[in-house]
Amino acid sequence: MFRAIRPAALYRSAALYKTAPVVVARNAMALNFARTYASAGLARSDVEKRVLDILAGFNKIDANKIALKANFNSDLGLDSLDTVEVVMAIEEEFSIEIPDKDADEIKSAEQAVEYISKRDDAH
Amino acid sequence: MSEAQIVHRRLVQSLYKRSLKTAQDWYIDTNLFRRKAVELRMQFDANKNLRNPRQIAQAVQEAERQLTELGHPDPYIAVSAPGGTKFERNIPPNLDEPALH
Repeated sequence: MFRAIRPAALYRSAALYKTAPVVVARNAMALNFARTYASAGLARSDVEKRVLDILAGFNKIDANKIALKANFNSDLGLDSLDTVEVVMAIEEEFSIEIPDKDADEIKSAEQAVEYISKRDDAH
Repeated sequence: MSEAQIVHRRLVQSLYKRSLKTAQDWYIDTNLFRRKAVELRMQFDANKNLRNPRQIAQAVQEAERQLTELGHPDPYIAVSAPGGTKFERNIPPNLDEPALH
């Protein structure tokens, strides 16, 4: 029974192949298998720039004192609650959540950059 | 700073952060949120000079009470944090040999 049907089905598929050029079919396949990924990780210089920009946005911070190594408390004159605000701004900028334990260790822009480069889910 | 002071500083920092986060959940508009943030900061600064341990405990308790009362039912979660929309998406497959049973 199936043998009887088969040749007709073959002819039909052959006719289909004739009408559709092979080149198009190949291109479509290539498109199917091509996958794109976002670039892996952030460049350190980018992270540094973004963190420093965040600090520049605070009106309590003297713009001339902003540096990577400047300590939030002793150099920039921020108190503990200001530090929380800075950490929250960093969280928002890189869309990550920084647990309190890690946030406690971030006392300068350099440490923040260090921490963000370790987090692979930072954007 | 003594050990107890450090613990207290962390507690207040945590309270402040949670307050700001809760405010951010409720106030989507940045201008409104900034106003609320300044208000919150003033509230925290008002209790800055408390020295009496009982008063401090009361202030902390009051802040905790307000936080539980005002907590947002659907808070914002960072995309890659647990519960976020991108959490554990595209986990790399485990390529190790399957364990022999």
